[in-house]
Amino acid sequence: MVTSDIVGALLQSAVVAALPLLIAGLGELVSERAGVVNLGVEGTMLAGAATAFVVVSTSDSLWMGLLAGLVVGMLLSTIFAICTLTLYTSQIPTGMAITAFGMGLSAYLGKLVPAQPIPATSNVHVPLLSELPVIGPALFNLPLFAYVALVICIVIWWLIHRSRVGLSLRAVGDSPVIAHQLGFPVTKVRYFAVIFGGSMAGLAGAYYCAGYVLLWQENMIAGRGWMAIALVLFAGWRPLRLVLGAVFFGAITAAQFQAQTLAIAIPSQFLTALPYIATIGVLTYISSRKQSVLDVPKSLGRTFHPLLSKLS
Amino acid sequence: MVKPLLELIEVSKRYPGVVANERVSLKVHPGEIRAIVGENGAGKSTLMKAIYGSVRPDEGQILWDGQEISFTGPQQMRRLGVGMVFQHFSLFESLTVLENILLSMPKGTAAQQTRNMASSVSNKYGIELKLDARVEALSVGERQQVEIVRCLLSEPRLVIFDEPTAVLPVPAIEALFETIRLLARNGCAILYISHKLAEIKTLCHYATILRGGRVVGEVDVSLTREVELAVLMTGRDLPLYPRTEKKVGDVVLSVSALNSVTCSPAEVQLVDLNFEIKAGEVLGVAGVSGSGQRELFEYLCGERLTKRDAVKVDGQSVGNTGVKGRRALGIAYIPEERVDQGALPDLSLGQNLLLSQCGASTDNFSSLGFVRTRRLAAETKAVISRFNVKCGGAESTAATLSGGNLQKFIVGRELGKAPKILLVAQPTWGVDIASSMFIRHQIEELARGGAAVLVSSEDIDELMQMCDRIVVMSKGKMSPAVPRHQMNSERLGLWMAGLFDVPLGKMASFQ
Amino acid sequence: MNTFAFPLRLIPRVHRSTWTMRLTPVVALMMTVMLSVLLFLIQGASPLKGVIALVVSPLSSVGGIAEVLLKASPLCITALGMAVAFRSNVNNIGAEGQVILGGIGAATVALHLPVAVPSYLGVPAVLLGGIIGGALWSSVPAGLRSKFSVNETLSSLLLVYVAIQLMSWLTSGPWRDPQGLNFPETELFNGNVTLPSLAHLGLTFWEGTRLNIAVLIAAASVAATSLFIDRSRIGYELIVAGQSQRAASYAGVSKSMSVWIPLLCSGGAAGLAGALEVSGSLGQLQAGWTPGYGFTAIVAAYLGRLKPVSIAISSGLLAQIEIGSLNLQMELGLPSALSYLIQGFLLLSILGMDLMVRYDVQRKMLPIRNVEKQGV
Repeated sequence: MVTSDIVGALLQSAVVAALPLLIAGLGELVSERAGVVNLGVEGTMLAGAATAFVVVSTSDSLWMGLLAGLVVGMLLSTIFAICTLTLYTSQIPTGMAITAFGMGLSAYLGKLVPAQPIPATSNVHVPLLSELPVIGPALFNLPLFAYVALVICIVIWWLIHRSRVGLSLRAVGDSPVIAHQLGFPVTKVRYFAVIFGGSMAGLAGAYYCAGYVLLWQENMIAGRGWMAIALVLFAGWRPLRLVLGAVFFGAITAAQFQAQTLAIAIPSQFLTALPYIATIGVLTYISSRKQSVLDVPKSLGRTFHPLLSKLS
Repeated sequence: MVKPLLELIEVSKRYPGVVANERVSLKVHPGEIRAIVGENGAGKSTLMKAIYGSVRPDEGQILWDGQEISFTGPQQMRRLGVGMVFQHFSLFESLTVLENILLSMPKGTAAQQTRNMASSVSNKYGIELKLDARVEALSVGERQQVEIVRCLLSEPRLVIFDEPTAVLPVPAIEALFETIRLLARNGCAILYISHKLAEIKTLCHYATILRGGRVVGEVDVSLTREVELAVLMTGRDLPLYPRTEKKVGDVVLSVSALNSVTCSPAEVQLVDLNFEIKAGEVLGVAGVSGSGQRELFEYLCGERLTKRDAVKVDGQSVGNTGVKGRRALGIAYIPEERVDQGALPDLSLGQNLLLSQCGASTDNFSSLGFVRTRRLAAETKAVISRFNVKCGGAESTAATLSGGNLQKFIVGRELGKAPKILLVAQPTWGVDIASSMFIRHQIEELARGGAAVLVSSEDIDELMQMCDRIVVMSKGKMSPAVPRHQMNSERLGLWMAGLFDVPLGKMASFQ
Repeated sequence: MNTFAFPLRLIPRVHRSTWTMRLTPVVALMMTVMLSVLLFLIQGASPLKGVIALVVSPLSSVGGIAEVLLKASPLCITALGMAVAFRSNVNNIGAEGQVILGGIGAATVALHLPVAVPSYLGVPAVLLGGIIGGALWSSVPAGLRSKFSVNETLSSLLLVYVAIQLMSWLTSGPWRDPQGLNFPETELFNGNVTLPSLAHLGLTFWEGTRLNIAVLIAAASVAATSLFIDRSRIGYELIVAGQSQRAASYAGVSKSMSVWIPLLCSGGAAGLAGALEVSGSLGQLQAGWTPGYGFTAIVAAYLGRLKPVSIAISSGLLAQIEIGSLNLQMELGLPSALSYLIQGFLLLSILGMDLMVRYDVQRKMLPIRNVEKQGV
């Protein structure tokens, strides 16, 4: 029997499941807005997760773990940035290399501490509001990190669409050649965007492990990094739409567990596969619509050569 | 003596394989409108980029207000008061007009303030700006207006205009000239880059003429005739074009009621094109690039498809036949872009020969689905020797060839198919003189052998030499075709502005 | 202007330098070996022991060489398919999923083929099933790109995870071995569909090893790919499409062909690789079977500069690293996923080193003021 309690619980788990996707997606969105597609998100999230697990296991502080994950993400994306922006390597294979590198690194780090679950932290209960039916638990009874994520999201939205910095970012993503001609520090902007993106991916992985699953397993990110990349496309490179998309994906990911409690007779593998199938469906819908609806950064994926003032 | 605002002393700039500017010196004074004149490839754009600061010269000095400048980038020159209205727009397509303008304002300028300033400048000069439209939705003319307003907002002391009238409708050209005169009267120095001699005579005070990267002349425009400017620019006299008789055959290619099927805002919409070409005839398409020539060629060669009957070859409707099908009918196409379209730089010449073979009747380079490398190599060598292509052999990559030699190779490749119809866009753009003359001669020979040729070129001189009849394209429309001896500068000027119906004054010769 | 003050300046070369092209993989390899040594030192292990375990011991016996070849063969075949795709500018990153579908396709045939069918028909049938399975899976991104302009990088990647779930369902549900004690795996395949070992075929040098005809198929694939990409008309058209869309349009290359053929080829190749694994060394389909070719094949393809023979060599090298990592796990206690770390670093090095092939490194020029005026 479906009561408002169950719907509320579903929504709450959807929002919480959405958090890593949202954070990683925001980071990738910023990077892609500058024209750089970073396929290293999956590996970076894994590295962040493993690092956070090690730090939390040894220091008992969730926030130290999150910070450590962020720093690892920053390091990996710096390597990526140096390769693609200074050594002019092609973005796609470099991203895959970073993912492989991150996967290996995470496996290595994960073995450093015994595999014991780390303690959970309790949610923030907003008095009164969290008692509301359905939306109460979903919006006002969430881990602290969720509110942090929301703040980050709003800041990013404001930066990209309402500030001069964001305008420069969008200009660089639209045409690095023209931006360079006009005197913009294209490479510097891309560096910042990429490193920000990687830091967010590390943070997302860190939260997923140390704040949500509370245990380390090899390959635990299981494709969520790729989902985050798809999410950016789904959201048309707009931060606020990204939130909706993340919740949608989170809902489907969470649904696979809830479906069992609702005794729906679907093989569990189908439910596990559902988020990925849904992502493909969404990609198809988005890609088949007219271009002008999307904010596609026109220089996405292309290497910029400042000395030649050329895009390849 | 008024001190010059800007002075260049022996400025040089080289790129791999070409010297763009060689020891160029010039001076510009406040209130002066100076033309920088030269053909394509003479070095005008590079020189302007050096003045504007987006390119660093390899040698020489630049003085502003008598002070030497050391290069730090375009922000510096803009701060000093140099503004530039580019020929190829520096606009971010996915941003709005207001956002584009805002980006060139100093940091901290509020959006509302920019909105007000932009509106007042555009009103002052009679320009209508759609501030909240995305640039990608604007027409080419509207985009240029954004460029101009953007430049004027920073109240520059020197403005460089790079071929600004190419895309403006006639009334807007007069308005632009008024704007420029107003600027000059207010003490602004103007550098006006163009190769349109009539405009330079109308607008400019002085002219510096560039040829081959060097300064070959500095004149007072009011004291110089157009023809003298032309001679300085091209280095040779304009030849006479007598009336010639030529044997032509039946109609080979006919186009009727050709309209663009799809058109994005940045492309030119073709409107009701009608013309015919007979066997042995050379039809020239004049007009500045961006008037629809590229779209026309794409519909003719089969890269774009249209109604069946819009294009007919020997009476057969081919409007919806693709590239390979049209090649089978004997159509050969030499595109405007040599690199990345006509040829691939990272492939060998032999592989590039194969590029336009599929479907042609001369395509005997396959057996059982495999490439016959020996036959290909032999044919490649034949093309190289017939067309005197200077290269490292059939195996060398196309990137190692100079522009002229690559063009010769491509022309040789297409002519080697003995086509019935040859479509060629800008055959000698950026090509050295000797190769240009060779290419033109080969095309004329092909026509003499009975092929129908369609040539488009920005060089009216070239068209007058090669063609039997000439049409002019302007903003997607085509003028009637006239025999070349009936083409003169007045008619050309009117038609390039799209005024196909205006009656002519007395018929002066081209000179 | 460029606030990252690099003392060196990069000028693109007009002519690619061939000796740099040959040298860079070697340099990349050396850098990777140095990284491995560093990892060993951090672990507190003897670098010499580590390098021997990683590099030498896999090749120190006939059995060892056989294992390397066995692992390298499917990897090589998958990487060859990916090279075809990459050279056509089709980023088929989801080879892992296509390999799994190849295994499923092979299992479909293997589990339903009557025992009476002789093995010279049974084995090709199983392999064909694998090829079809892989090609079907890669036709999804092909169709999506062709009809809806969906980026094949993402779609093929997401399908990997769907493939994993599909295999998990099949092996725990409809195809589960009734005698298998509830493990998520199929029955063992019959003898008539299992790959014959080389020893079985009379090559007694390989007696006692597991090496089967997969290595012969891999060698044949190298030749076939080379012929296809470098010598055939269709291969030529794919290369043109991979270089420039405008040139492809000029040449008359069909846009849909340039998407479908690379994807079907690489999917089919991956499927074949999966079938070889499943009907060879595994002999059954298991839920836990994650071939791991996803990244390794990409590394092999790039390490081999997308050329068939070099890919064969790089596949062997990577297979050796993977087996060596297992040795490292046993002898030094390092996690076997370390091989991912090494592969990632190797790919990064080769990509970074490629810089030297395309660019000339020069000292940055001094500002205008200090340049002496030179007479010309």
